Amino acid sequence: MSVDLAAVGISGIYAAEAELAATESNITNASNPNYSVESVNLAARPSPTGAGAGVNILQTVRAQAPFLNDEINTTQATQSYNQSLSQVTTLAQQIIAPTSGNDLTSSLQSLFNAFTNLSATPQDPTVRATVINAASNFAQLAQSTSTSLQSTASNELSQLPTLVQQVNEISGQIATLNGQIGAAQAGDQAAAALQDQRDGLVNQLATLIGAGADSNGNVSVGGVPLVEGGNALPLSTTGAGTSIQLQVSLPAGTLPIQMDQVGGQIGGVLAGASAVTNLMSQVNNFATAAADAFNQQSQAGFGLDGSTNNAIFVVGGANNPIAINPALTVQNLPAAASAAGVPGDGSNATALAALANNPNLIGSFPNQTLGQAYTQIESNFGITVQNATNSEQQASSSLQSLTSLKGSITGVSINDQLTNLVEYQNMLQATGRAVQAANDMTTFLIQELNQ
Amino acid sequence: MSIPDISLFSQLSSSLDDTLSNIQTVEQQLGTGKSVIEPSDNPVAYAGAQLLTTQQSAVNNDLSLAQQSQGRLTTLDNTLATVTNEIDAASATATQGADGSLSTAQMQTLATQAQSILTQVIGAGNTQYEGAYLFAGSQVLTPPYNATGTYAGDSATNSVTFSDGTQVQMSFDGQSVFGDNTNGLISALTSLVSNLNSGNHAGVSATLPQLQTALQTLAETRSSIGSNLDTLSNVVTNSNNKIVTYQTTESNLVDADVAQEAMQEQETTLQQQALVQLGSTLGKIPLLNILA
Repeated sequence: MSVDLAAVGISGIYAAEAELAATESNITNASNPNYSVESVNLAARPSPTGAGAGVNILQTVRAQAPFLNDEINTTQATQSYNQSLSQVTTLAQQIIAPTSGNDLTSSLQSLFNAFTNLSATPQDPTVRATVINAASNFAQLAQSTSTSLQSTASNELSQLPTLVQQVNEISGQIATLNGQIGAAQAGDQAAAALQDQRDGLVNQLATLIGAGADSNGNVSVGGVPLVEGGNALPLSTTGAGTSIQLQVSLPAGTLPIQMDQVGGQIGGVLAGASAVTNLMSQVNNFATAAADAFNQQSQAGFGLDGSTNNAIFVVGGANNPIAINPALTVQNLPAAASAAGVPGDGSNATALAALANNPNLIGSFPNQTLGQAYTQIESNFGITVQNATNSEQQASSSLQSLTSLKGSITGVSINDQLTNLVEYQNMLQATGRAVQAANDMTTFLIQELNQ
Repeated sequence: MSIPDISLFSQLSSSLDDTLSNIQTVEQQLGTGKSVIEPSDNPVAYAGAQLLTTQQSAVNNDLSLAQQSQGRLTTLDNTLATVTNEIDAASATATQGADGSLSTAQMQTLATQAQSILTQVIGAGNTQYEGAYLFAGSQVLTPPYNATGTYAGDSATNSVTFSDGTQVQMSFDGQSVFGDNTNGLISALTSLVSNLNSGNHAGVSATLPQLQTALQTLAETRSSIGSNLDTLSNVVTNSNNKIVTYQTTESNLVDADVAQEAMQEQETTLQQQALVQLGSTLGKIPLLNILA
């Protein structure tokens, strides 16, 4: 029984070449975060005698860590969600509590101080003008705070069309890759590079919208499919402002995505816009409650001109929670006196100043003065910002650990690859030498037979 | 365990980012002197500091208002001190005029002096402070007395109320202090002038007890003003003390510990230097050098 020594050696050369190719691919992709390290599966080629007769190349495989992949996607979505939420809420926080200290509390206190001063010199036109000025400042700050919060929420939501477009583009790419991977696998061809690409795209979708994928590349958000095999289902928005909704178009109709199921950057944008809108509502309620309290008391007073029932603020104007009463003048400011024709009576001004200590003026903050209520609004929102920031940092830290852990399985270690390179070079040289030896033997035998 | 190179570099990059962020935070705290700048830095401490800031604003206003009010009451007191001297002078004039041996001409001279005192007292009743008549009750925009001593004010008074509820009377009913042409000091002085002009020694003598009564009324009013000035002085002292307390408490809540922050900055800077050095080392892959 004969052994084809040359064929044995040549199979080794092929194997070494395949391993060298995988090693080179690994080294050249060492800095590619979406690349999974590849290796060549070999199997001993049996001979009829049962002894080894060379080596067969089974396939080139990539390292996988599916559980870690899912965890990374989930954590990435959490990090992205909280990053968006943290950014927009930090902006809103700067609007309601500017570092300059000029917030609605300080403006309101200036108004209370002005009324206290008015109670001492109720007829003084300068002091009366100061009251009107302080009231005007408070109304303007309430307006600008409300407007800024509204535009912050609107700006946040204005990102959605672009983000949704990105989701659709990536979904389309995943669907295409699903088709290519299926075709490659059906043809018994390597699909490692395509799978790497798909993993990277799924990770991008997790970052954008908190999507997850199964092992076949079917992608969904909150149970609603975005990609089914080779088909991408278009995502779109309906409604506007705070009532905006996300939906997926199916062959037969549309399927809405529950908003609390939306994660990633889009989820953060929606949650951030909602938080800022809610904050604006609280600020408006605060301003309205304060204005109502001032109006109620001031309307009981009398101006220097004997007029009464004059409000300081206009409440509930278009797009503004409060505004200064445009008809207010130094003469008709009804704040100071409790009766007509007594310009030196500051008792109503005293009553207005005493509103500072009234704990029953804002229903949503029982047993709190107006100043305490606004401070509570600031503090509560500070907790929202703090939670988002902390969650982002925690997710970022977890993400780093998970990525590192996954990297230990699927990442490329250049030291390992250099070691492999030496090993496979040696193998190539050795198998080449074996083929040479077989060739020498064959040549010798032919020469001997010819003699 | 195999350690991929990309992980090493990404971790290094992330650590450097964290370190720079920490340095930025520490420098911001050192720059502003505060560890709590926004609500999210420490919601509870921020809320506490905000409430203290609001209270401090009210107390600062109290302080300013109390100091202004001191000026007003001091003007009132000075006016009444002058009137007290005028009453003394009027009493001396009346004592002289009660002497039956004075000639008509001498009585006329005394009448002129008494008229001058009456004019000055009516002028004192029309004293103004920053545009307000101080002895007009609540009718602070109208002169309370005309030339004949008729009172046009009312009996209301005005008080200033400070943030802690302390009230101090700031205006006075002129009629109860100076009277008018029918009673009180002005009436007594009017009667004195009339009796001196008419040479009525007995009538002149009868004004003396009225003047003493007016003097007593003035003393009581000055005593009340003195008490109010003491109250204002207490408001000033208490406000200054409160401001210090609020500032100290607020400082404890939000101020940065400069020594600790400076030490943390040094630690963080050192950490950053070590990471940069590590990055330099990571660039030299030992195995690659060996194989080369």
